Amino acid sequence: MTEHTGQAGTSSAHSATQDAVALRAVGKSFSAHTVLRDVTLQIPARRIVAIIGASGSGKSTLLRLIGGLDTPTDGAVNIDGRAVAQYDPRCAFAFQEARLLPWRTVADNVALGLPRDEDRARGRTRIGELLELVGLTEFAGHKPKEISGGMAQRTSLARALARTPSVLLLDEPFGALDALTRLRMHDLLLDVHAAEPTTVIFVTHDVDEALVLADTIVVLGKEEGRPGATVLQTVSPSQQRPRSHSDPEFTRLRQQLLAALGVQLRSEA
Amino acid sequence: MSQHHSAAGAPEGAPDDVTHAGSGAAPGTAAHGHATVASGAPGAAGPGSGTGPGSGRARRSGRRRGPVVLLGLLVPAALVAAWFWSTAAGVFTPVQLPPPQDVFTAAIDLIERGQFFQHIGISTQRVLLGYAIGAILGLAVGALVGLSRLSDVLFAPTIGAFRAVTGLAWVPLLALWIGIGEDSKVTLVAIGAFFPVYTTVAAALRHVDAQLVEAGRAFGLGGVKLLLTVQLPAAMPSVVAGLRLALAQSWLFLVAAELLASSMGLGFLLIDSQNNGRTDRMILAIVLLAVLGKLCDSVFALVQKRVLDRWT
Ligand SMILES: Nc1ncnc2c1ncn2[C@@H]1O[C@H](COP(=O)(O)OP(=O)(O)OP(=O)(O)O)[C@@H](O)[C@H]1O
Ligand SMILES: [Mg+2]
Repeated sequence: MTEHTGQAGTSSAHSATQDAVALRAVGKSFSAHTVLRDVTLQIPARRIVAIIGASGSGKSTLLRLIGGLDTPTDGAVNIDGRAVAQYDPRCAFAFQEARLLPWRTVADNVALGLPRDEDRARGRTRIGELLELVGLTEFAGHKPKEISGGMAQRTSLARALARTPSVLLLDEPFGALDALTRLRMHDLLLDVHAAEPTTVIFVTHDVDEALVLADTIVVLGKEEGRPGATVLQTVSPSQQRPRSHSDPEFTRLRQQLLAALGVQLRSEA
Repeated sequence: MSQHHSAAGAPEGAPDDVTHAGSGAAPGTAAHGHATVASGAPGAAGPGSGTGPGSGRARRSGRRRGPVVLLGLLVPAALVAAWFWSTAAGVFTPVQLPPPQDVFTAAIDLIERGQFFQHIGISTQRVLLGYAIGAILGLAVGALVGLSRLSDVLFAPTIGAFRAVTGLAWVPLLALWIGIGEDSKVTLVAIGAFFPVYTTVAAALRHVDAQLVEAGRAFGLGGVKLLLTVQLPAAMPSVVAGLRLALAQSWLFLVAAELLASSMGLGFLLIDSQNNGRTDRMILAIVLLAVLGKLCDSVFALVQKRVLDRWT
């Protein structure tokens, strides 16, 4: 299990393959408040990317820009070579909050995620499968107020998956889950990713989670004396998944990432 | 553990070909170094705080209505008893306050004359008709103002100003313009019903949880679909509350209309009895208004409960 290729990737090796998501010098300000500055990222298709960073460093903001929920102040965001549209239909979003429609059952909330042109019968089958995947079959008929926060989060995840998007954007999708459910959801995400040609970008506070799941980890943070957060470093573990926590590389990267976040925290204070 | 190897390496290209170029930022670090640190460090970095939806999971335990209703009748019963006692003891003259049995007799008398149900019928008809018109207009205008910034800016101040005019103030003008027939009364009731509906609908639609609306849009909803899927259902509880308020207000406006210009109805019964010195009938009219208004409201409360169950 701890086998790894040995040749850790050399940094900044531009691939010839089409980048699924490309951010070019993206900046975002809210009135005078600069949140993101000069973010440039190229994410090849089918990659799993984790975004980590201190609270308030603009992770959600960055994800929203990629999904077309907000427009950048500077720069450009492209998906498959085309500019991101408002509420881009190529993306599916799982918000940091579950954001379920309170009057709809769990199943009907997941159904909201189905592509608009989905055939009814096929859609119902798909919802059944997704509920099974996130372990909520029993709760299909429950209203959001009747389920726990973690269940709501899984419903929100299933809703995003229902869209079979080419870019899946997940904002702290496993935040409210217990350790065991969290591991199950990690497996689920990897299974879904293996089964469908999806580029996954997710936000997490958990360095270990990032290291277990992601092909590449993007650290967002402030640079001394400059406004707004930008990409401080990107890290790409060479280990194959499933990754062992005891692998030397895992331990090293973990320390490196924690240091990056820690430094950030200290400089903020 | 399930097999994830297939997913790990993604298609072609080195696994780290996600690249970035922040100006002057630290370069991507992915070099494979010599790790000497002991393995198996415990997991750090606590989980983020995912906030679930509104908590309140508990369901009100229903099916205890009977005793509650009986309890609610306690005070009216006590009032009637006090009324009975005070009139029997001669605290009030019959002209000031006739005893309950006189009021009852007055009701029987009116029933025999065929006027009792005529008064009730015409008043109820005016309320229902006016309420329907006012509520429909309130829904339409409220939706317009609540959903469109432009209409909000254009119309809201004017409507707000008209709302400040009390119902009674309209009576003379309506009598002048529409005459003293049915139309003017129904119109006044409609005015009374319009404002509560308009106000609540506009406010509810304007304040639909922006996060839910955004979620709807993110999943491809827009326009009418968004309205039907997210905005209207979200506003539903407030809309129904507004409709209920409007029904109560319809009865208030009805009396105003009938007091000043009418030849039938409970308001007319009230003013006519005053002119004839029939306190018993005045009290009867008031009791009937109270009972009818409360009855309407109770029926609506049942509807409201169902709506709340369904839409929250
Ligand atoms: N709509 C907005 N208007 C003004 N400021 C905003 C808006 N959205 C985000 N911000 C600001 O942008 C900054 C980054 O917010 P963001 O939600 O992206 O942080 P985050 O990294 O996701 O934090 P967390 O880990 O706590 O979720 C914050 O300072 C926030 O106040
Ligand atoms: Mg966030």
